[in-house]
Order: sequence, then C-alpha cells, then structure tokens
Amino acid sequence: MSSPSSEIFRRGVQIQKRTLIAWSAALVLLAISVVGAWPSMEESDALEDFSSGISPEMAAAFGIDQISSASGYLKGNLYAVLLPLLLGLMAVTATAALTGGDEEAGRLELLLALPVARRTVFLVRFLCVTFGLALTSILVWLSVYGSVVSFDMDVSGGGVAAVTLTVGLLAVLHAGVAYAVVGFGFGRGPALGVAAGVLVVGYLLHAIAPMSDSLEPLANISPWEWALGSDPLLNGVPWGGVALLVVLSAAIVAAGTYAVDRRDVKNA
Amino acid sequence: MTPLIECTDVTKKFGDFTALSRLNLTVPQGVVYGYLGPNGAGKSTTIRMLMGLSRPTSGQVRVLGQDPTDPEVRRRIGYLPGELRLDERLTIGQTLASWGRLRGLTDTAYRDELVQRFGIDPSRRVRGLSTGNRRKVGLVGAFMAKPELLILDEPTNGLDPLMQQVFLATVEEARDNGQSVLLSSHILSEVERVADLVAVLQGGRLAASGPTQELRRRASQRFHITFAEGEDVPLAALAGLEGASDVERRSPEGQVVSLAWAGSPDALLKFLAGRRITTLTAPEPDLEEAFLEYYQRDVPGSRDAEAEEPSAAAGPVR
Repeated sequence: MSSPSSEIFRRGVQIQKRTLIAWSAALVLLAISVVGAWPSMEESDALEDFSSGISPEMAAAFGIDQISSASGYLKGNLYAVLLPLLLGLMAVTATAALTGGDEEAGRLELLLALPVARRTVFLVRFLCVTFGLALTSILVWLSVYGSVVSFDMDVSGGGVAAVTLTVGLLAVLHAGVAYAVVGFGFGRGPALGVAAGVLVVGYLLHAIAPMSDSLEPLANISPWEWALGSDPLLNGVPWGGVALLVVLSAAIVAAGTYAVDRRDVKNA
Repeated sequence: MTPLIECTDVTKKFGDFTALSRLNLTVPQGVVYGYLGPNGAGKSTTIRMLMGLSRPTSGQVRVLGQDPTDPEVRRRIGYLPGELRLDERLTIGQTLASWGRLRGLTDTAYRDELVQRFGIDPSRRVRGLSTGNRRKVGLVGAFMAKPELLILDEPTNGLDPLMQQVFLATVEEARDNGQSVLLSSHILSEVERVADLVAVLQGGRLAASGPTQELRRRASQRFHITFAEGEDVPLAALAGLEGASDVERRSPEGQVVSLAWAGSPDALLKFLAGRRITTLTAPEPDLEEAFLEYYQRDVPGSRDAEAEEPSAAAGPVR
C-alpha cells in the first residue's frame, strides 16, 4: 500500500475507532451471554418447551427449529437473526458515516483536493469498514469458540468459523450497498435507508418466503439465504453462497467507485 | 507560457439554478489574482471546479494546462476551502503531519516557519479552536509545500487584523518566490493591497476584470466640497450634472457636500468655478466603491437600476 493510501486507512480507522470498540464490545458481550446461558438451558427443559408451542415452519423461520441441540441453540439465539442483523447495521452505519456523512459535512473537501485520487479515498474508506467488520467478526468468533470449548458444547469449530465467515460477508455486502448509494451521489440518509432496507427485506424473504410454496423461490434472491440458507454452523462453508456474496459485493463496490469518480463532491 | 488557470465558457448549473454562466478567466503565472464578489456570486463554485471537486456543466477548466480532476495536477496546488472542516480529534501538529504525508512532503522547515509566523501552537487540539485559528491551520497547510499555485477561498475570514497582515505578507513572499495566488474575497480592501489583477463576479457572471489599478481608475470618484459661508448650496444643480450621483449634504444646514463622480471631473470643476468654495477634496478611490457599483446594478431600486429613467440619472438627493 502506497503511503497516501495507508495514511487514509490509518485516519479512517482512527475516525471510527470509538464506534468500532463500542460495536465490538456489544457484540462480544451478546455472544458471550448467549453462549454463557447454554449450560443452565441445557439442564432445564426450557428450550423444548420454548419451541414446542410453535409450528415447525415458524420455528424454522426464526431459526429455532433445533433449539434444544447445542448448535441449534447457537443458531437460533445468535447466528440466525441477531448477529447478522446487528453486524449488518454496523456495516451500514459505519459506511454511511465514513463516506456520505463525512462528505456532506465537508470533511472530505480538503482530502479530495490533495494529490490523491478520489476513488482511492472512497475505496480505502470502504476498506476501513471491512477491516472493522473483520475485526469484530473475529472477536465474536473467538469468544463463541472459546465458550464452546469451555462448556464442552457439541458444536464443531469449523461450523462456527464457517458461519462467522458468511455472516461477516453478508455484512460486507450491505456495506457495499450503502457505499454504492453514496457513490451514485444520493448521500448518507438514502444510503442508510436503502442498505438497511435491503438487510431487512432480505431477512424477511429468507425467513418467511419458505413458509409458502408459491413464495419459496423468492427466498433464493435473499443474500441471507446465500449466507445462512445451508446452515453453515452444521454443514460448513457454503462455497456457492460465499462466491455469490463476494462477487456481488465486488460488483456494487466497483459500480459505486466508478460513479463517485464521475460526479461532483457534495458541498458542505 | 501556459496560463496557470484557464476557464473557457464555463457554465455550472445546479438543477435549474445557474451558479456560473459562461465564465472566461485567465490567471497568468507569477501574479496575485483577486477573485471578488458578494456571497453567492459563484466564487466557491468556480474554485471547487479548479480543484477538481466538481465539473463544469459546459465549458472547459484547465489548471496548469491540465484537467484538475487528475490528482497529479493537485500536487502542484495548495488549497484552502471556503468551508474548512478539520478533524476534531487531532491536534494541529497531527493535522499538518497527516496532510504532509498525503502530499509526500519531506521538507518541513517552511511549515515550521509558517507555524511560528501565524502563532500556532501545534500541540493544541483542533476541537475548541476558533474559526480564525482553524483558518490559520488551513493556511499553513496550503502554503507549506510551496506549491506553484495557491487557491485560497476567503482566506482572511475570521483572521484578526494582525494575522491579516501576516497573511498578506506571506502571499507577497509567495509571489516573489514565483508562485501564483488566486484568492477570493467578498471584502475588497483585504485583496486590494496584494492583488495585481482582479476579477469581479456577480450573480454568476464576470462583471469586470483587469489590473487592480485600472479597475480603481474606472471606479467612481468621491468628492467632498465645502461651499463658502453664505454661498447657497446648489444641491439640485449638482445632482443634475451628468456624471454625478449620490449627492448628499453632510449635515442638514451644513456647507459640505459629498458626491460620487464617474468619468472626467472636467464638468464638475467648470460648474464649481462659478461658486465660492473653501475646500475640495477627493480621497483616493478604493475598490470597495468600484465594487459597490457592480453590486448595485442588480439590486432593485438602486441607483443604477433607476438610471433607466433619464430624470433619475443623478440619483437620490438628500
């Protein structure tokens, strides 16, 4: 990495340092408290009772269909909804703030007038977000895996790694959506709205479409389905889904970068 | 020699609003160029295009002979934005160091000298700095790499008079060093001292441009006339003279009359030759006055708007 790029990267990380620490701490805490509750849950039959009143379809929609097994418990309480949703929101808000937000506040004005290509500034800032997501994902992974080992849960280490990867990539994709919206000049607000909308609609398609035969094919257009449809915690990395997430992320980031180079920088 | 800045028929529209209309601007090398106009005239719009931050709707912008959206051109330019937003988390020293790294600046001797000259404490945090102090940091950033061209948008905004002098001296030093400076301002007197050339922008159009001296000559001249005791003060007659405007009595029954005069003072002197006067003074015209003339053209009900009617050509008589 050439010197201006590393400088932009360093500054970008420095800017989001506090929010990054807060998100990481919150998600690690969430992961630890979810896993930490397992031993007492396992002993009582609370989990059986919890899911027994719900139809199997509904249970599948919320990811709690196998909640009484260790991996089912982890999936239902962490990886099916909560973690991807929160990590996705972190991705979206961080990207919108670091690109569109800073641009609209006039904080990029001087940076973009320096001898640095505009696409470099935006791409490196996207990289800062990706770095933050990776860091948070790794921390969550380590805390889950550590707890799994110490509580001797019947969950494969490879499965935890696989689901961490797909959830992380799902978040990167949504960061890419926010980035592209900013790239095309719609600003921070629309970037937040569109990317959060894609996140929520994607979840609904993934969770609800399978309940109806006529809607079921729609689930396949949901990025959530690509990331979590094959249950990576049990079945390992879904390489097709991973490829789809990576390629689509790369494509929308490239489009956003192409657009940002050809538009006017917003005035504070 | 290629001009440092060349705008050819540059138009910039924001939706239906035309911020800049067919602007032609040439800034030669080794000059200080004053880019003047009231707020909203299109100065910052021009400057942002010069920095490659936005593109013209039509026309062509060339800086140092190249398209300024090319980052390599910007290496040779120092820029101070009109709206300067610094990173609040850094100290002044960290801010300048970061800009230096982004520019690939290795020789920091001049930077340190500027820091001293502007009286900046590098260890202070940006958060809590006044507008003027932020501006000083921005100025050091613009000047520190000794770029061929400096583009400064409202550089004196918020600077106290002492710092304005330091700034003007730094501009003069840069020019003597062969650098060129484009500085925008809505306050003429700030620019008048250092600018070799000026352009006056109004409502997105170039209202006037040329050597500062010449613009000053074209400016209307103000005369103060004291009529002798007992002499009738011929206010109406003065106001009726071709070339006179803004004729006013200094005090209600006083003998002192002040008026603005455009063109050769010949007719005024001939008129006054028939009266007894005790003093006639004509202060050095400043650009402020020339400037106001351009402004008032577009202001409804102003002197020049009324000039459409022949009888009102002399302007209001008070």
